Amino acid sequence: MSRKSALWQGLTNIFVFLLALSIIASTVLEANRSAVDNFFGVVSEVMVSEEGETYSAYKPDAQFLNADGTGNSTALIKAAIDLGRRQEAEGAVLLKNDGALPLASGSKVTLLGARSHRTIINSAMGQKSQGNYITLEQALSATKTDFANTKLDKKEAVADYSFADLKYGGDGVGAGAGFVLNPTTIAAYEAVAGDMALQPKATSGGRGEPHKTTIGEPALADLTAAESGFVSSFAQYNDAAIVVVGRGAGESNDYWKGTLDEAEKAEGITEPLQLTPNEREIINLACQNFSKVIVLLNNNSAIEIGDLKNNPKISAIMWIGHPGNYGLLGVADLLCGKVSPSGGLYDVYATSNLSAPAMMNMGDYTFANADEITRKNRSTKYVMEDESIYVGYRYYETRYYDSVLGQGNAKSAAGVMNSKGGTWNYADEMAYSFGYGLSYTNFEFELSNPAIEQSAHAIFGTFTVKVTNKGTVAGKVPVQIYAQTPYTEYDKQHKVEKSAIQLIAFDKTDILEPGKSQTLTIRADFQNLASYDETFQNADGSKGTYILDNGAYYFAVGNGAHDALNNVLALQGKTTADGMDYNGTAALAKQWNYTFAGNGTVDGTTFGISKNNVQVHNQIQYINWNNFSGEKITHLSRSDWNGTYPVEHTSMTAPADMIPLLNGKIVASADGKEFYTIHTNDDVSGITWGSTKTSYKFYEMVKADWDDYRWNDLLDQIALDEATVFASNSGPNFVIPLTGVGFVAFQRGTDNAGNGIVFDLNNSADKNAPWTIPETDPNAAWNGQVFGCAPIVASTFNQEIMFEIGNFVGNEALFVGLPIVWGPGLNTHRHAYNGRSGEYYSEDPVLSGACALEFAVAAGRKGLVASPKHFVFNDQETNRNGVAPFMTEQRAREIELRAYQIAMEGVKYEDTNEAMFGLMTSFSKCGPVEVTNSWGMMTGILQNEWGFHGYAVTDIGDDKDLYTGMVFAGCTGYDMRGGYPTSLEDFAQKIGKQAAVDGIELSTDMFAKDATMQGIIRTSLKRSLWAFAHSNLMNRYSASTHVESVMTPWRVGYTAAIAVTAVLALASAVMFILSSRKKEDA
Amino acid sequence: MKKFSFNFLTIACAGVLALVGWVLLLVTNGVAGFAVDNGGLAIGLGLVAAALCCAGAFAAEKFGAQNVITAAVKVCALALIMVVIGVLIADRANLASGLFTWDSHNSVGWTAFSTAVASIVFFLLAVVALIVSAFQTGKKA
Repeated sequence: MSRKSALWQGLTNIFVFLLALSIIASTVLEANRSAVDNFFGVVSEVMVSEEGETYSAYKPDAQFLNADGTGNSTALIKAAIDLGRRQEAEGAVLLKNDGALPLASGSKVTLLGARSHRTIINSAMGQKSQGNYITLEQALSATKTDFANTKLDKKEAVADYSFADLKYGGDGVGAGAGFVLNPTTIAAYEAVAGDMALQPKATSGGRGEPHKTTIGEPALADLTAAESGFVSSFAQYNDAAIVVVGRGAGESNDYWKGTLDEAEKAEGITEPLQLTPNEREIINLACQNFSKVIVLLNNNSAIEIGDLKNNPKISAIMWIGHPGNYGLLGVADLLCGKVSPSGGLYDVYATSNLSAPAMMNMGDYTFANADEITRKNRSTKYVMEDESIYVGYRYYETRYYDSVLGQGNAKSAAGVMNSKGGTWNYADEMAYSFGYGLSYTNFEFELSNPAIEQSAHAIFGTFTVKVTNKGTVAGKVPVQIYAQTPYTEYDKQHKVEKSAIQLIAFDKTDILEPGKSQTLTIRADFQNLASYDETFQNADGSKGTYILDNGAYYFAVGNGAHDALNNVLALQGKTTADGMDYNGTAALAKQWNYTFAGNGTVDGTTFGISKNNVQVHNQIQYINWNNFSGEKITHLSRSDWNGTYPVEHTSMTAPADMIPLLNGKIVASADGKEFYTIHTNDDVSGITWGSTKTSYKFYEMVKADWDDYRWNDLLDQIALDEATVFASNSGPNFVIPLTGVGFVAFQRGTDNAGNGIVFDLNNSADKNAPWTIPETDPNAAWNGQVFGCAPIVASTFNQEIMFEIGNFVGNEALFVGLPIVWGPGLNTHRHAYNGRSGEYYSEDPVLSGACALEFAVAAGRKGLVASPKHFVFNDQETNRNGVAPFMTEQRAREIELRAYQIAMEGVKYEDTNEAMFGLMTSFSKCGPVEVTNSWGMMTGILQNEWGFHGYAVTDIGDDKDLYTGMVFAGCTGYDMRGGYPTSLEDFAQKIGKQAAVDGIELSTDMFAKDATMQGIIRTSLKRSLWAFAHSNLMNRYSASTHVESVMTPWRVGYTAAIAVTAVLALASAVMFILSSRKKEDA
Repeated sequence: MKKFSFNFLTIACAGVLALVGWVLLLVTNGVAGFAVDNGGLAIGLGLVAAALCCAGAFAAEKFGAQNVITAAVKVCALALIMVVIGVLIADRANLASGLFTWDSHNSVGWTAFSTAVASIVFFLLAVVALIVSAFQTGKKA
């Protein structure tokens, strides 16, 4: 009997163990149910209404619906392929062409390079591309695909797609390139494909591992070993060689200086964005065997290609970016000449990336006195951005201009990487500048003088540009308007930096047939050429604002920034005799003289008042290291390139007056000298909570204006405790209901995106929508994350394409029931080594801001709230969790912030009052202050100056230890993936466990006697509700809307496990007790 | 010297393992910025569980391995350990999801995560020892 009782006791323990495991599993699964749902492709909670939803607020485009209003998945997917193809065809940039391109249909072509066979197609815009894709080989040689062998995962999608379906116009124009490809090289690359990751990482690292760059290009010896006829096969396919080289991009990693393999370093290659020995070997092989060698660049971070540019054996170079699932069709269209290239570079391609002054300070830097910082997990890292406004082309072109004019020690040795003779020379340092791109045809431009509209606080210039196609083939061309502002003695005295050239507006022609012309009228907001002067004394006593200098302003069109600058120089009477690399065209530049009519030597009035009618003044002076005590640093100035060129700051000591900010004290002043503490004795009688005087419901607020009179009453009806917790929680799940206004808790309100919505087509959170794709649909598992990288969007210089992307993603969101998207990426490219370059548009804020604005407005019209990220200064992925970037406020406002300002103010759409309803903040800081906790950033600039009202979420769980500061600054809540409060009672536990700053204990009544915080909480709540009121969530809302749980398979699983193990545990225990008694009886 | 039964030694072993797990729980809970949700509760329950293991060992010696009191003490210890494990998993799951995806460079996070895993491993070993002890009849070592 002892053995029996031992058996039963043992079994009891096992089943208790399993029961406990099941309960743990259920708890963890429920806590992370949104992620679990996404993983399994199900929805565990749905919003339902007894009387049925109207679905009248937002609807998909008619082309995606059948006659009965149901969804047409095939139409949607074909439209995605169409758009992805056109996006790439307009965004790819032809950098060099000696006449080799386009190749004739029927050309016998040899594909070389690992990336010709394993092209990096995704851009990891928060999420990676998913689903089936079209390869370069298919695009070049086939006419249709069944997607049978091109799956990024196991998901099924469209069964068949004819390349001729494309709507370029004209029968059959969309068919494939019609090349005949060398099968031997394809077979060789397939044989070694195991070593060529489809989605290579930019770098590894983390967990103490060294940084390392994965390139994945095989050696020629490996290829010939795989296919002995590798080289000899060239003879039969020798019309051209197309060599593809690539570099990956992705979240959480940067390229790092000097991180190639030791073997590659031994070959003299040191940097990860240089061509490796294996890549050079294959390019050289092509040069030896082919009269036409075409190099395709499959990257976002600029590969160093200066020597390819100057190599006469390289016939053509084309940047194709990470083209998305269908973009290689667009590449084929370009290579075969069905479409003429019309893209312009999104970033500069320098001869050496290290020649950018920003590269002096990128990487891992720890404060020397990190032990004095209590917030060690988030506040011990920094990066000094001493390059001031001279980011990307602003540096190279301004230094070039000063070289020509012989000023500012521009020709000194500082920053020289490739210049011969030890003096800085533009032609040696630059391969291809920003905005540059070739076509298969030639265009002639005629620029008229700008028509200036000036009012008290705005100046707009309207440029009329006539474009004529002087070549022999049809094509489009971007029209880029650049400006030069005067660099005056005032600027030098007040440390105001000026770029010698900057993009201020752009547009793109339609397809122009040979001989045809088009006149474009382009309106530029001169706010985008105003300079921020931190020293300017405003009339209201505040300091710092945007200024315009008196003097000569120049405007020019050109093929990129450099060409435009040369045109300006030409108008200024400069020629190659003065040191220009080529003579510009004076007729393509115009001069405009500005004299401030008011008092003062500069105009600090016109743009001193923002479009939201607020005095602009310094808001984030703590972003400048020199505004603290202790050691001072030098920012790059064109007044002396040599004396101010950045040095690397490897071990800065955080000054004593910076430490409290690093430790998370709630900063309440622009200079970081004043702090906020919770009030405990305010008169709060003027703030109403929980009112029953009115009975507005949230569903009634669909598309309500910000100033709608009903908001105040509706907010009065909400309870303070609910509002306090709601202000912590901004998705993806909104688990705190607002009972007073009928706002229900619901799941999956938000997710990442940018190049498409990440969910499978049938994985809708809005199952009752008439257009919902059923599981039985053959395309049910198609995933919408399919478009090319953000730089491709930027390089199109086509606002219509930008708008189309937003519109399509908005349609996708309707199909999957997603109201808010965390995207697009809107940070500017500080340098080429940022591993996330594929997610952000460009180094130029005007181009980036326009991309984001078009995306947001288009998506918004479909009820998808765009939330550009990462606001702001996510200038490197290294140490992004709290890295403190230091720069001047001028730099912050004119580079990173200007992109957001353009998108937020939405000047282009001011008549329709459309712009941004959302925002996601950065993990990084603003100087020593977390962006999430920076009142100057989140309220002073974002809300007050720009008039942004919407939802503003932190990145994943960022700064959960700084709840009060986060709310005080002006965020509307945390991105709480996985760790959100599930109830009011859960709030302090989930959010407050570390919130010890100022000794604040979190509770739902913590602001009971703080009128300031109650006011902020109330506004925060309104901002979130206002954003939702303008989203497709309103399709599901009615008077009886409530949430019902769904018994998903994973819920069935854990419920069954709990039940079975509980029964077995109980039975075993009973048997054990019985057997024990029998033993005792015996 | 008194000889202890295998059962005593197994349960005592469970107690020692639980105690090691508990110490590691203190460590992971103390990582700056990564205090465990319900950490205080887990620490308390972990200590009680370790104590129950010790009590179970002596109960086994006094009342026998298959005595209901001994079995009840052990199953209570097991249950408490599982609660502690559950608290740790629930708290660190979110951290882990970040570390293995977007937050791989978070060295402090990795410390919090790895010490939590170590703690869970020791607690699980304690559970295994308790289960093994439940199958034992109580022979002397």
